[in-house]
Amino acid sequence: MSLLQVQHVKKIYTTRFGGQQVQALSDVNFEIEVGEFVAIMGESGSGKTTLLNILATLDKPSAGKILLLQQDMAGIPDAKRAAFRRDHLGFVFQDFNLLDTFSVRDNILLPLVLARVPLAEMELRLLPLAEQLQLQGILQQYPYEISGGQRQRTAIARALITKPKILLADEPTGALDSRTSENLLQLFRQINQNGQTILMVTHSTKAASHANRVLFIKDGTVYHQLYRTEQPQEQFYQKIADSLTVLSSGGNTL
Amino acid sequence: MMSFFSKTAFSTMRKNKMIYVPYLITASLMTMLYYILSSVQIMVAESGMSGSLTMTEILRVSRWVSGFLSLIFLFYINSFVMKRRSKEFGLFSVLGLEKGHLAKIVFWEILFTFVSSLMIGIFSGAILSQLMFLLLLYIVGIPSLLHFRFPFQAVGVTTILFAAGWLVVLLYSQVVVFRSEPIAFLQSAKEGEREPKSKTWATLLGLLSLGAGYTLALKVVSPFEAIAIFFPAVMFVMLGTYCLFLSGSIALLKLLRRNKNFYYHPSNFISVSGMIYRMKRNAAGLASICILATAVLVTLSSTVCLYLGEEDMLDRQYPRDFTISSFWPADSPDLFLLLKTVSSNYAKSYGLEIQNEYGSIEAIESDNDEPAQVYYTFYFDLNQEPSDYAFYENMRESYLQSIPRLAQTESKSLVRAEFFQIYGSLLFVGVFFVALFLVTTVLIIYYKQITEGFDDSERFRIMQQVGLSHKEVKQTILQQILMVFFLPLLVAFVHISVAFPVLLKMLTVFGMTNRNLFLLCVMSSCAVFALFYGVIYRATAGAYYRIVQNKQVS
Ligand SMILES: Nc1ncnc2c1ncn2[C@@H]1O[C@H](COP(=O)(O)OP(=O)(O)O)[C@@H](O)[C@H]1O
Ligand SMILES: [Mg+2]
Repeated sequence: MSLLQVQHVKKIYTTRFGGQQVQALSDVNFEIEVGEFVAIMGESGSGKTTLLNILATLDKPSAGKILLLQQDMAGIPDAKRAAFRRDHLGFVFQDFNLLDTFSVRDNILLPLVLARVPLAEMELRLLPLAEQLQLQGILQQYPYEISGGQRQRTAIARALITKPKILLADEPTGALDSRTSENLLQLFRQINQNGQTILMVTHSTKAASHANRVLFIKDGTVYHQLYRTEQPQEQFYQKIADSLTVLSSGGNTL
Repeated sequence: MMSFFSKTAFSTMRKNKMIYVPYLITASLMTMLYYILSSVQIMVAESGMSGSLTMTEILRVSRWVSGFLSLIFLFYINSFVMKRRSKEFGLFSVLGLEKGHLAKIVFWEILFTFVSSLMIGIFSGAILSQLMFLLLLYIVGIPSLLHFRFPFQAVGVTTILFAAGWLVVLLYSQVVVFRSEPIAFLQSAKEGEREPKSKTWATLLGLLSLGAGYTLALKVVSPFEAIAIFFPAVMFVMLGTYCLFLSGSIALLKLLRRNKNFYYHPSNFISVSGMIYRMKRNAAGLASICILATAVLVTLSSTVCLYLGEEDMLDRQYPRDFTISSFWPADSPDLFLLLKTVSSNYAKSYGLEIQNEYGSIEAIESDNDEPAQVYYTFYFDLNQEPSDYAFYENMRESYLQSIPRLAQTESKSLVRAEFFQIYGSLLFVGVFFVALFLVTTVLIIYYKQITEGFDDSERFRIMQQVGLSHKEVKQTILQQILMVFFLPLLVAFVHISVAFPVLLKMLTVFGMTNRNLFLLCVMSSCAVFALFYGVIYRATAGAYYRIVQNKQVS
């Protein structure tokens, strides 16, 4: 079943001064099925964050359509967007975006508190998640007291606690060292194997090779994609790297 | 030609205009208030009008006190601004500016601020002081003498005082610049990120100190006792307020956080955690606001009460228009008859009649070898106001001829004029002090709001990403600001309620015993202040919201 459909999405930024226009996305099309782990790859400035923000309803497309579970997101009134985001989408950001004012535990519970979920239910959801993400020992600590990997795991717990339809991640390993990144990506796979749909945006081949499918974005459009199928990760990594070399040297096929 | 440092100083001030412009305005207002007080004092002294000596004295004392307070406030505000800007200084250091260069930039900034606030203050003060002089004359009930002048002496004292004050500010800033490490500059904006520990001893000290102050205030019986304990009590309450805001508030918030049913509710969740986190930085400012608010309420209510209660005090001391009193041997015949005859004759010589007369006798304690004495007081009204001023001037002379041991011959209308001069001047300077306190309060509130705004904008951006709606952001902000800003007001109200009996006792020293009038004055001062506070809150909350909103998503 198709979970997310992106059709002819276009985004043009108009800078505040001088009215100069920047076309961040020109024509983006793709679909994501339930249970997929998809990576979107592209160089810095290729419009990845822009795309993700649009999917996250944090920004609106200049043209095109986005359907989540066949529902057109443009149809959601502004006042309901926050609730929609809270109930259906989970986010993980490169710089974690944790709040220093809250303990790890409260950071994770934040979306549930905002959704006015009863206290007992919160506890019920928190414990297994904390266990899965190995956060039990640091629940009472504050973000500035823990490591980068722990922070990102906290952010993932916060994203997953609402049981989102889709987890959106923007360069989740961007601020982590390679070993921590590797652990985190393993975690993503594990979460995905438990049935969670994930859409991850990255410029790292290594990160992308953990996904089941990789979309390549350039000049504001998706111009190529690779399926992992049954091949081992190293092989898939090689294939992605090869595609990138070919594609950046001028090949332009889909 | 401008040096690199003065140019940099100007450009940083321009960049920081949200912080800097209100600072300059406040400094100018303080200069202006001081200048007005000094020049009104000089104008009163030079006018040579009746009662000018008393009024000059009141103005002189308050001028010194207000000058002193202005300098303290300026210093406080400056240290706040310096802290706010340490990040920028850090950036300069990283870019390769030495401490000596930074010191020069700061020197230029302070010099500029001093010169411009002095000029703006004296210029606006010169315009307003004429008006204020007329206002003072109106309050004390003296017909305007139209004595327009521009006393250069006032310019002199204002310049000297504020030059000295700014010199201290400058020295302090230079010390701050020289003593800090560049890296500390970068970090100090991040200071206080850690959750503050609630110190039990500070909470206890606060409770004890506040308790001591309140007990002193509540146990007062006599007016003179009230005067004696007033300053110690004020000190205790101030210390207690600071300790409790600094430590008690955090303890209380942590208690709230422990109550899960209260805490895990969207707006409480965000507000309580945010408040705990920043209370350390907020607390001192809030305690200052609370103290200033209390000072405003005390000053306003007692000066207004004395002014409004003037007729009341007069009536108590002088039940009739004229009061004649004298000592008299206890074994001699009644003096009242004589007093009445003398008064009646004196009135007749001006074509007037006495009426409503009555008298009182008081026994005087005397040493054994002296003959016992009594104190006679005779009160009367006239059938109409004497048209000839000589009636008042010759009165004492005339009575002395028949009553050798005359004590006093008082006319209510002359005393009334005196009362108006004293209590009117007090009201006048009271208004100045209130203005000074308010200017400072407003600036502290404004700075709190914009600092909070900058700090919170990032937090609210993140919360919107995880699903906080616009409306919820607004609602949360409202609650948080309400908690932060109305706490000092509330505590100030508690302070003044406890201080009420002491203040009332102190007022009886002036002859003011009308409890209801004072209660009315206190309550209306509270109401007016709360209203003013509310307006300030709304205006600054707008600034806060705009800052927070600037970085938000839709
Ligand atoms: N708010 C904005 N206003 C104007 N231009 C923007 C804005 N956000 C992004 N852009 C531009 O859109 C393009 C894509 O940016 P982004 O989506 O952040 O790329 P990526 O995340 O792939 O590095 C860039 O050229 C960037 O300058
Ligand atoms: Mg990006």
